[in-house]
Amino acid sequence: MQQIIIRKILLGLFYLFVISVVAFVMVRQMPGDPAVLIANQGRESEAPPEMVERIRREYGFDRGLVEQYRRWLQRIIFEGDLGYSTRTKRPVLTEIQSSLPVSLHLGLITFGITLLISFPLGLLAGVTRNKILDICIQILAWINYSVPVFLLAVLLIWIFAVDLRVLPAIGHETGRHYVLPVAALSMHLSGWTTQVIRSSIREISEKPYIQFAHAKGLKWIRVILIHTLKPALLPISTALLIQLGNLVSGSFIIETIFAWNGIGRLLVDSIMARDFPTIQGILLYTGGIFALINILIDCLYLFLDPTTVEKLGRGQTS
Amino acid sequence: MKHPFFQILILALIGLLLTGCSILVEEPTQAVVAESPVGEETAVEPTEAPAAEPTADSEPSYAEEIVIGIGRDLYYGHTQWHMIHGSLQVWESLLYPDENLNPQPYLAESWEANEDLTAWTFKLREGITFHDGTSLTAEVAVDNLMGIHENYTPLPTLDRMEVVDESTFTIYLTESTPALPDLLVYFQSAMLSPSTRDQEGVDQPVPYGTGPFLFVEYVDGERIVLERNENYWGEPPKVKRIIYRYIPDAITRLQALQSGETDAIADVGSIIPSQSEIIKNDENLKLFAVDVLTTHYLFFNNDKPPFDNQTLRQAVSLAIDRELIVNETVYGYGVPGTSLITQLAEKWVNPEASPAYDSTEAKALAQSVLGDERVQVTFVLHSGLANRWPYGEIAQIIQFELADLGIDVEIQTVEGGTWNEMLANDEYDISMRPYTMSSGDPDDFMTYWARPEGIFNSKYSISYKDDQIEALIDQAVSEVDQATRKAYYGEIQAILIEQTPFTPIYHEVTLYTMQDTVYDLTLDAIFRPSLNTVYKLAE
Repeated sequence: MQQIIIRKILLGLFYLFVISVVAFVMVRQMPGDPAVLIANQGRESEAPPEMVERIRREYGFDRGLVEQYRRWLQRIIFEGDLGYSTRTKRPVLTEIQSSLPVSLHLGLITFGITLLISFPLGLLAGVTRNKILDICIQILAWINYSVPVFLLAVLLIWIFAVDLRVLPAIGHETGRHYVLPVAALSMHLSGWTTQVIRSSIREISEKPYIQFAHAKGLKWIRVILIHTLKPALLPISTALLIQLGNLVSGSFIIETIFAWNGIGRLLVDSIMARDFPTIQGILLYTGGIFALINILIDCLYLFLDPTTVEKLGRGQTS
Repeated sequence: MKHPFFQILILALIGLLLTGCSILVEEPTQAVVAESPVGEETAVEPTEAPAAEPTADSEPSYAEEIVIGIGRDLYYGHTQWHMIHGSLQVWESLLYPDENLNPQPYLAESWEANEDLTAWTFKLREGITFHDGTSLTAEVAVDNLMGIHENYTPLPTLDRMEVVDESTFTIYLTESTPALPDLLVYFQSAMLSPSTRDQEGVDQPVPYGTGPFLFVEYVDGERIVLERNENYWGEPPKVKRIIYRYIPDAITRLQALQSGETDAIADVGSIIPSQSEIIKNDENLKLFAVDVLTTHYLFFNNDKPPFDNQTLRQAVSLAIDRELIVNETVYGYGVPGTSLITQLAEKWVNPEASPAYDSTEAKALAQSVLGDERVQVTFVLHSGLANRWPYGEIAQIIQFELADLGIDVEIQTVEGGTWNEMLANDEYDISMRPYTMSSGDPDDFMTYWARPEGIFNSKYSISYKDDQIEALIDQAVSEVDQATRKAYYGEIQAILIEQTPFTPIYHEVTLYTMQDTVYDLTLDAIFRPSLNTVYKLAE
């Protein structure tokens, strides 16, 4: 088991390396000469060519791609330095550190609320034999997921901030500021999550051994929690953890609507400004999150399905 | 599965959910949101000055803080010479234009020129100090002007600057420059203390100006906090603290005002014209409109077919119904582009040089060039600009109008970096952008658009060049006699309207709004708000 976990961690680091290469190469495919954009920043007139060349040398844009990448990676590994934002001239680490808590809080709270909404509904829809109830829950989930999150957000602001004046529309200074953004996001996401939980539960519920368990006279709560839910948790957890990764990577739409300075907005602003160092830094962070989540999912599999260890030992699963 | 226990379980989970929500609902430890009082019915009149101060027998109490919502971040830090936008009045300039766009003394008390206008001597007001306690001296002024010249916008005819004494300096020019005071208004002569530049490595440098407000705090991408400068050399502001709240989404920006979380929205492009009806119908809000110096131009790639053909460009200009565009896309809050330069520059506008609307003539001209053929052109829009102004809708109207001429327009909206790249690489036929003639002097306009080396002319591959225009511009810029100068610029405008390398679509009318408890907040023609006079009645 220990060896498998170590292998997973090393694989995760490899994924991170691949992500760093992809991020580095991808951002440089965007149109626009970054040296020209940086030189012209804050100027009305065109920057003189000698200034553009100086900036090109300063930021290393005159070197080959491999050399640029090597220098960048070296600084990260040995100095923990992600470089400086070309947009704000501040350290990329500072930019990310100032935006990250906002997105993390929003993501984690939204995840929790989404689970609270979708787990009972998904479980109920999965186990019930009442077709009407199942269909009603599915329709509700489908409606939630179909309504665009920005529309939900604007409606909630209009009702609770403008009309009723019980909640604030912008900012994140207090707990009250979190209610509307979390509500908008979790209502939207619970639609999908409910469906995922429902499908997994339903699939297991219809297996012959579940019917057999009922026929044997086992208590229904035991059938649901031990024989149905536990095996269904594997695919459910995978889906939920991936959603968690998406959430803590920042939600640009919610952050823009509610005027939060989160990492989603930071990424989009950096893309618009061709701020390569910040884009790379954020993509590394996002990649790291998903690499970690992959490791967590694999560890969860080991815990929930002990046969995985044996299968891995025989090389039958990754 | 029907079982009462299961139903109880669901109810319990719902109860848990509600409990969880209540944990999130905390009372703030201090007021962060200004509650908007229930106001009386107020008639909202656009284009009128804000209502006069309320009179009362007892002295009204004023709120300490005003929150202004805006749609762009006005703090620049190290990325721009000025560090912060002039609207915030942390820094001030040597000169500032009045309502007739004539440069007026501000930090500079007076100025005079030699006979041939090649040497201008400026005298500073005495006793002005920056927020860090240092004095505004001639040396500091010269350092600032040189910094702006090198890092922001160059003075085209600058030779050198020399300090004469503690409060006097002279600018020497390579040729006669009668419009030098106009070229030094506002951003072009912003004064910041030397210690502002000593903040290398500081994440959020503090701009130390001389203005009525001190820079206190910047929360990245969220807000700028200003406090009253108690040692201000002029009339001190009424309000103690102003917070500029950056709210990128236009709908949320208005909703925040309606909910009372902000007190005003006052900046160019911060209110979409379509929101005007909502504001007018809200009894707690007042709506105002002001003509500003911004004009929205359509420009051509004059270097390649089909718009290397002057007749076809004229046809396009004639086909555009500017009045329709103003009525349909900005709800009447705009002035159709009937003058090449902003209509506010009354002393320079040539009323004869006016783009006309004549669809019949337009078709005839297009026919004479294209015959029965049709051409495909690309209209490239900057997405950031299209988010602030209705360029998408304007492009669609133009697309519709040009179809009758045999010109099939493909509209592409691209993000800023791509837009700059495409225009620099000649990958467009038509585009649009706003331009603010902030100095009020037409040479400003020529520097950007009409000179071959003009900022926009070269940057956007407009590629306009005309020897006669160049000669006229050179004559006008150094002409001492104002009447003759006006004649030159009048002729230049007439030629440019004729040749149509670019054409005005409409002149901007900026909307701004505030709670009915806020008074004396106005925007001027360069959309600088009157922060020194604004006040808000307390609850």
